[in-house]
Amino acid sequence: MKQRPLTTNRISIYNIRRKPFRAACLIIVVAILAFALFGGAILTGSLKNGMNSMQQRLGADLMVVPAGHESDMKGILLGGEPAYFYFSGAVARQVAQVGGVAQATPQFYLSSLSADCCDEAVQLIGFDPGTDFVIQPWIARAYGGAAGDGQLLAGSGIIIRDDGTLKFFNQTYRVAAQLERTSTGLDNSVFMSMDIIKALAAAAHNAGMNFLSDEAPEDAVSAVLVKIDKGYDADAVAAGIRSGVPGVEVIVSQSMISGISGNLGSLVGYINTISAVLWILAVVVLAAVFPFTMNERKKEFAIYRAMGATRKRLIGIVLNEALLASAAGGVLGTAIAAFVVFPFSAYIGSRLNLPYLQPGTGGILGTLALSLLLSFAVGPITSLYAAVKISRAETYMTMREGE
Amino acid sequence: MKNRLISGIIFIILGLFIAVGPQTVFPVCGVHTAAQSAEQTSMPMNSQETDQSEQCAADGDAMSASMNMMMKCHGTGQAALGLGALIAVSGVLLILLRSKQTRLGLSIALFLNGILALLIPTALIGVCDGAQMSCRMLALPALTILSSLAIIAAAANAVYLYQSDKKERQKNEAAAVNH
Repeated sequence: MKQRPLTTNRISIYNIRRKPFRAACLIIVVAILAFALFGGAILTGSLKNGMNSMQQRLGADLMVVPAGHESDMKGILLGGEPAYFYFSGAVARQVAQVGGVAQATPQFYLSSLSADCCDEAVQLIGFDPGTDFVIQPWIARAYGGAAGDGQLLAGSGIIIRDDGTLKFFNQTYRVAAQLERTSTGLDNSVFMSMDIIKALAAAAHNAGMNFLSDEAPEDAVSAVLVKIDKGYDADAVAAGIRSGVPGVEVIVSQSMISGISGNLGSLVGYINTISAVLWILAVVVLAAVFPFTMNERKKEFAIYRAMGATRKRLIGIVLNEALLASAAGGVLGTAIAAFVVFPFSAYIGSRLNLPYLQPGTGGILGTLALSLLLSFAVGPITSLYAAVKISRAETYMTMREGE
Repeated sequence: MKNRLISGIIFIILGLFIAVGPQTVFPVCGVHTAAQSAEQTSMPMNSQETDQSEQCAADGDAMSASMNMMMKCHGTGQAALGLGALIAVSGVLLILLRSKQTRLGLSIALFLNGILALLIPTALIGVCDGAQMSCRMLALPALTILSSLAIIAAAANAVYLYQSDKKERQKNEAAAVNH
């Protein structure tokens, strides 16, 4: 039989193999901890990332919509739920006259058809290139230029045909670029100039779909986005618009963000609390378990000492066993968490109903390293006291114990 | 016995999840009728199908002349039902059959079934295109994970059985020589 040197590492491995149930229990405790640490960190990171992305994307201080369509507008922006509503273009001109309004730009919304089978309805957003201060800066940053005449820009969730076009209401348009993911409803939108969207509204009308029941298509708008002058309060300007322009509702972006941010903050708080509680629980459980296991292995360690093992070697064996169990648990828990949070990220985002944007590769690797470090460390830290205690035990007395 | 039980139970569980999951816990989208679609579209429309749905209709199969459309993911669900049942039955056979070589053959078949189960939602049939569709958000990742686990478990079981069988034969040969 092949003989191998009895190193610290090999003794630890043999010990773990000899007591598979004890090792499995330790591994499961650390795996639960690692799952909570890594999964929780990715979840909170994605929520914070999504919130930042949404704040960057809103772009306007106020959003003026027809009365009764506030929730539709929020649905478009946050949930990507297609909607269409209109008021007269005269409203846009009235809004621009209200005190404190620095810039006002109209937008026009259409919805493509809900598909018969696999596809979803898509939000179509038309903007006025002459006055727009919301869509174009984003497009310029994400795409590096403006769309050409008759071209569309698609959100990240839009499926583009193989020939690089999109077809709505029998009209085919070339897609200039697909924008980066934002985790907002705008990912499920297609952006185009006012000319294109008005032509689409006319095409929809010809195809038998009446989006505009009362308004003349050439003068109708869906929303007016407002940037307020410096020194003005958003709520005061909103109140001015409400009193000066009848039949409209004003959404204050900061209030909307604050509401979402509040929900997100409490969720992140829960996740962080659960992670911290699990870490403390794992430390307490392991710190309680190690002295017990060391106690029942006193004679084993006394034999090592009798065979010439130094006290340092005994500490090494115990710490190594704890490290191996922690490492196995840490890798297992992190792998299970990765199997849950990455493939199901779209589902998690939709269930939470909050902006959810996964961190970049660097962020994920950083979180992974930190989670593994904390999981790996928990075993050696909690077993240190038991290791030192067992190494100090008197060999002769331990061997004679119980006689 | 321990290997037979553990490996058999693992494949029964994986097979049942692959078979029943797309119909229950991580559902595919099902079959939509023209009437359902019209309900979803809250606007007056004529019978012309003029938008992105055309692309989808081209992907799906017409179930009948009455505009019932079978989605790609529905086909994936049906295929997974058959394949999952096959994996589960193979798991039962792994428990019942004693011969290591037969179980090795079954493990290789399970490995190939796992690859097929992985290819069905990802390449051979696929799922719907929409990012927010249930089949894309749930069924695709769940089937990918389950079939990957089946592939890994089958490969590990095959390697274990091959080595164990090889050791056994070497032992028998050595015993025969000594005898």
